[in-house]
Amino acid sequence: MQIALTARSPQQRTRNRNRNRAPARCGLRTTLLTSCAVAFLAAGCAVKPPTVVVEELLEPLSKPQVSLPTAADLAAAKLARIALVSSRANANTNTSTNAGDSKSLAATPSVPHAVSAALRAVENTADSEERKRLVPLAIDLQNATLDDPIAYRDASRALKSRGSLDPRIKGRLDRMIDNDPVRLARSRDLDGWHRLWARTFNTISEPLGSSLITGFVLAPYQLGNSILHYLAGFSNAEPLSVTGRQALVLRQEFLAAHPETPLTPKLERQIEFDLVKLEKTLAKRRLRAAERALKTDEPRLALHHAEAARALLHNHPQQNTRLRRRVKKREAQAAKTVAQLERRRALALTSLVGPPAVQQAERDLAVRLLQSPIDPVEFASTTADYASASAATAGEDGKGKIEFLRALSLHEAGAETASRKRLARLSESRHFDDPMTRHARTLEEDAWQNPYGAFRRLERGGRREELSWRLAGEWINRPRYPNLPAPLAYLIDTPTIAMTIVMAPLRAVISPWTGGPDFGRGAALAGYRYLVRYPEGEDQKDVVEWLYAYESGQERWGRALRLADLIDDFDPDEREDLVEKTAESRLARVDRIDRRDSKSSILEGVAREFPDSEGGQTAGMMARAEFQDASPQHIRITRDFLMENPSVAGRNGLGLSPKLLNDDPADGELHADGILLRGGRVLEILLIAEGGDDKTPAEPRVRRVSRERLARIAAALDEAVQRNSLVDTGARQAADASRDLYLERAGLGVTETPDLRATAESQFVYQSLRERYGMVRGRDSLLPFDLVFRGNLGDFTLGAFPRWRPPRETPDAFLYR
Amino acid sequence: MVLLLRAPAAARVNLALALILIFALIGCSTFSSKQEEAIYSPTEGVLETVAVLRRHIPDDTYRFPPANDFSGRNVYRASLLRLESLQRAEAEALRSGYLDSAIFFAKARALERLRAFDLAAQQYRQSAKLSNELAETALESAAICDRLHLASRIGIDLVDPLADGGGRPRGLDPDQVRVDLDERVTQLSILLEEVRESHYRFLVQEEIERADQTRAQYFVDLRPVFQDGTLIALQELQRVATRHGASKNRLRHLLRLADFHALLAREYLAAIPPESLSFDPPKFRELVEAAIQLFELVASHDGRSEKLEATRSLEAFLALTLTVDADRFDR
Repeated sequence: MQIALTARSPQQRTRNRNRNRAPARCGLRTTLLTSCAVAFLAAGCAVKPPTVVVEELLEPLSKPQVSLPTAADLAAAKLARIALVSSRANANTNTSTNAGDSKSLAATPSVPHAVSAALRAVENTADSEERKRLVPLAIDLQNATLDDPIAYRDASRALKSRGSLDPRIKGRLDRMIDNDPVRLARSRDLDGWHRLWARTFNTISEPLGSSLITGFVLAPYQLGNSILHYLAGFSNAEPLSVTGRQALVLRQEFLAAHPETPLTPKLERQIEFDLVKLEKTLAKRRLRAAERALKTDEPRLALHHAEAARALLHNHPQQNTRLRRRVKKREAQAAKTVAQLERRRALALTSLVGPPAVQQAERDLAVRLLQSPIDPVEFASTTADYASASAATAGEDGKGKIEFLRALSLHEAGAETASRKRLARLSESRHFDDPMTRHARTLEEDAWQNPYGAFRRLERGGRREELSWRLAGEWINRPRYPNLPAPLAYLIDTPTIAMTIVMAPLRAVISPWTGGPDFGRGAALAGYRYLVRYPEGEDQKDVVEWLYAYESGQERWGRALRLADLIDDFDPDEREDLVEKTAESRLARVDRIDRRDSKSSILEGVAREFPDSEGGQTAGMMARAEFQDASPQHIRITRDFLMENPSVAGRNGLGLSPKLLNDDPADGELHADGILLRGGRVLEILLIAEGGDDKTPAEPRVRRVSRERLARIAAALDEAVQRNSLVDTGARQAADASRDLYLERAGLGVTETPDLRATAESQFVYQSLRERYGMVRGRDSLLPFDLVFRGNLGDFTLGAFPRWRPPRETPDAFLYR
Repeated sequence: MVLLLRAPAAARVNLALALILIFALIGCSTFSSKQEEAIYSPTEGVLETVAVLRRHIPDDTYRFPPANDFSGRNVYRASLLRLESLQRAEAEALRSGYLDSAIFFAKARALERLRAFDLAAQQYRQSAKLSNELAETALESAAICDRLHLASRIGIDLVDPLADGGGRPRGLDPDQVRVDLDERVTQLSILLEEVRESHYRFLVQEEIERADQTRAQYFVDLRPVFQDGTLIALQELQRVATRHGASKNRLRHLLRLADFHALLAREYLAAIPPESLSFDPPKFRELVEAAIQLFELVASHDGRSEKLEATRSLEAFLALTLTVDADRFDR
């Protein structure tokens, strides 16, 4: 702390001394001199002397102090020994006689006698200061021997009720007490009710507050609308909510761990009740999935979901009867559709011989087909016999085959567009009983067989979707209440939909900044398929140009560059621009990567691929800098962190020279970036460069430290972080496995052989609270609601209202969805 | 009808309109049902099957997925089944044998796409005996199918895990396995040069891919037996993914590699629990990052079923890492 508070420089002190010696001889001179002195002093204060770089950076470490253990220490050690070997088996049911702890021990009748005796010894031998520090810890240790979580929680509660506890032990006791499954289950239940209350409150407050500016003229409409949505919102709720499921699991876990407690009958009833609701929840989800699958012509999937729903409801045959009936109905419907599909698919594999009059012609044509490709020119002669035979007997039926074969001959001759058009004509013909129509339609609609057709289809679809989206926003996808009948769901949202449509021009104006969904993705996929499937295709140019425009629009410069190379006479300047953009976009990716091997790989790739571009040259420079800066570790401790935690900087930790933290540039100063642990036993101390400041690049000094010093740094860091996190949850540092592993090894003195794997490197930065949170740390408001001021351009309303904050989800909530 | 006659004029009009509407709806439904039935009706004549099969003979099935017919089946399998159905159901009509050569030839074309090279060769030869027009092509194809069949029998093959008796036991000589499979690939490569201009090129490429897959699978299965078995297995899987980057199965190869990394991560967790002192976070991180990268790469490909597999596998794998303490693995 002393280091941090030494703020005045020796130069300043000298100046102050000189000023004090200045003689005061007469009025005018005195005033003049005083004015000059003040001016000089002000100038002296405003301009700091230039920073110098010093080489004395580390101080000798403090010698470990040897002290004899006190009687209280010995008693505490004895308590620890006894507590470690004690168990329920050697517990004394009559327990302690310690009056101060009678409350805690009354609820914990199985504390071993030896432990109680050892605790009393600690209390008797400790002096008043030690008693304050040691006894709560000793009691907690005694409580830990109870071997019963419920009893331990009760005892911890009793211990916490003692005043003046160290915040560290208090924080630990709080966590222990809060970790009560039954209590947590109750909290989750309350969260559910709290959420409902918040919704109800906001349903009333929001419309009332929003109609302030209109003098409550619109209030009845807005309130009615809000209540309508509130009621409709229940259709999205499930029988057992996420918080309800959390409560159910917590109760089940408690019951599994403690099957015989007074709470057991009540818990069993609650669990049974919630289980029925859980089955209903899961079965409803399956039923909806089955209904969706039926709508999208996936009867097998629908059958699977319906069967699963039935199995879910199996355990409670008397419950959920309506839902069971619905499930049975859907299951039967899906089973019927599957059976019909099976029958049709089996039928589709059967074959019949054609009419006798065309058999020979069919055979000849089949042989000709199998023999070699049919040229479009000789097509007429090849099919002439069959055409005349089929016209005489089969009438229109034979035309489909001729058309199909004509398309086939064009396809093999490379006339892709003509072949595709012919197939399209056949597939769209009204002769649905012509067997070749189905084959033509399959070829036409298959995205792999006809990628160009798919490309055009998806492009048109994308344009339509985009137009709809621009007009009606997200409403084109689904209504807000999908579980209500669709007309009702859209009816409820009619005012909002109307407003969305009215606001479409405004949205169109601001759309360049707000972005939107990618409507061309499907078409682009089909386009790329076409390019690889038909490299000599007639429509390559169209597709490449479309794809180039699409990829440029999406700012995927690498892809755009590849496409540009496929375009004839592409503007060289534009290509150069694309190269720069591609290199830049790849360089931007490097910042998001923390592994040095991946970074180097990308940088080398960019430098090699675009050597003549600016981006390529930058990448080369960056790759070189990466190489030069590479080290097994990059753990940084900032100067502010060291100021905030003097124990880390002091002689029991880093042993950093106090001059480096005294804010006096004249004797050398640590840069704001602080100190870098480079791996092994190497420290890099970053100093402010000569004549520079925190904004100029640091002047690094590398020091190889002793094993002991490194161990002390690791211990001091660990101690500071642990202590801070126990006192203030906001001071907790993020987890970092590589950092912890390195510090663990440093503590043990086994860092001689640095771990060179890229995945072993940590780039963790120890920052002060101010660096992490700024001047003022954001805290939750004490009020249970937020005050919201809101204006709406759509209905020209302006208002203010309190919005009740629903409880936050617990971090494990995602496991219950 | 009586009701209609007794009702007032306006009501009669309304009732008549309602009846027309009902009949129209029933009519539409019947039309739609008939259309549906027509789509799945039996194939009419051999020409239909041959025409569809012929359309897909030149398809590059090494790079692109094989086509499906209107019933959603593999077009080669569907054609084969239809030809067999024709032979069975219309045995009387076909007794004269006028269609046999065409049917045998077409079946052979379908069979060779289903890897039944020996059967395809037989069918070609039968066709050649019956038709002078098809004989030359049939005999050429039969010879190629023979060579494909012989090559495919060199060395080990992928094992049916559900075969009776568990299949043939694997040899424990990796060098011999490599030599045999290299020999197979050599034979196939020679054949590839000869058939480069025909559709057999794709079949040969598929066989080479299968040989590489077989080799990788052998080392994956037996990795605990050999020195550095895991490393070799990993290299073999990477080799398949690299050599067959143009194949339709390239995403499948990448997925296999991702699955292998995920499997190694699981095995590592089982052998060395994260809470144990021997757990090495960087080693685990390497495995996890490799698996995640590969899963994400596959999951980024639209329009492929592997996308779904990769997405779900990634989710499952990330769920596994939830069991590891945050100070042992950075999530």
